[in-house]
Amino acid sequence: MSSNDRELMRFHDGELSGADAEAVQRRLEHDAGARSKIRGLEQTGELVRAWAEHKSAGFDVADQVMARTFAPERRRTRSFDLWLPAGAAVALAAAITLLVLGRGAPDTSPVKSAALAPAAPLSPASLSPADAARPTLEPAVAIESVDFGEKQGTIFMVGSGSGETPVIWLTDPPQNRHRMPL
Amino acid sequence: MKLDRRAFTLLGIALCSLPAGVALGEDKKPEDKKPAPDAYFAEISVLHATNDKKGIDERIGEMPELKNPPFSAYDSYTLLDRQRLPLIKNDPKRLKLPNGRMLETKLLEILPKDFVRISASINQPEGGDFLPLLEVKAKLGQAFIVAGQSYKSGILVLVIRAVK
Repeated sequence: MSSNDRELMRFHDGELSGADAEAVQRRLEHDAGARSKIRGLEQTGELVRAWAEHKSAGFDVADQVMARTFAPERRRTRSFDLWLPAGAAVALAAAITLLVLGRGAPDTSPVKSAALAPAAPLSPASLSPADAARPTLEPAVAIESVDFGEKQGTIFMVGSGSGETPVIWLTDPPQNRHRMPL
Repeated sequence: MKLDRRAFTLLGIALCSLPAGVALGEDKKPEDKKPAPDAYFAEISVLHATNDKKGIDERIGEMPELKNPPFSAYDSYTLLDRQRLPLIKNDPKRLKLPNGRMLETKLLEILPKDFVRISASINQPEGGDFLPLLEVKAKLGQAFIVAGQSYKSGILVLVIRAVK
């Protein structure tokens, strides 16, 4: 992870102030790749919050994901406190964050309003220093690239007993969902 | 006269050897139909997740992922279909999903240590793309999941694994 990426994460978490925050803000105005990474961080946080709310009865993950992903863009909030109750989900969020930040060439195309940036391969370069210190084991399954097109999509890992299984979660647009025959 | 005898003999040999040739050809046919010993397949299980209080279909087999969030948000999983599509380079294979979309899989590369690189995509019936492209490097037998498409008061969960 580059220092720029760390700075983006700190900016997203509200840890930057003053000149540092303004510098990042200026960078976001003309750097589509940075905007894409910030959007990935926001969507990761939203997914984790949706899982935390799963504890309540009657939870419908599809509805939650749809509501979160199609909600109008909100102002950045300090999400650290919200992540704490998620417990193990934080590790998941970190994995997704690494996926987004570990992208190869920066995306110079304009950021689409609702699309998640293409996922990054699970490459050693995207590992944190703590992860890098561990013995390097080749993952049994690695998502090397994803093109979600105009759809909403998220990549995360789910426990499979002995290991973890990658999940590519796509959602239908809300209007299509209501048209589906019941 | 001597020439006629020779011709007759040759004709006899030819006629006698014909059934043997046919028999040999028949013996070869079943071997040709067998898949190559190093053939790869994409095993695709199409699950329907709902909250119908029916539990998890026994035909799905052991799948701890379904008991973990976000899949545990659904209490019922039914196996709708399970297919093995041959994984062949430059020869994509298609599977029609219950919602009418088409899942397409293709072998990109065979890698050492029982790894393969495969691609998958999901297309709309009208011709548009739902999931334009997904490229995965996977060890044989290891699954990845594509989930979230709405279907009959629930969602579709596609469990895909490369197998030999």
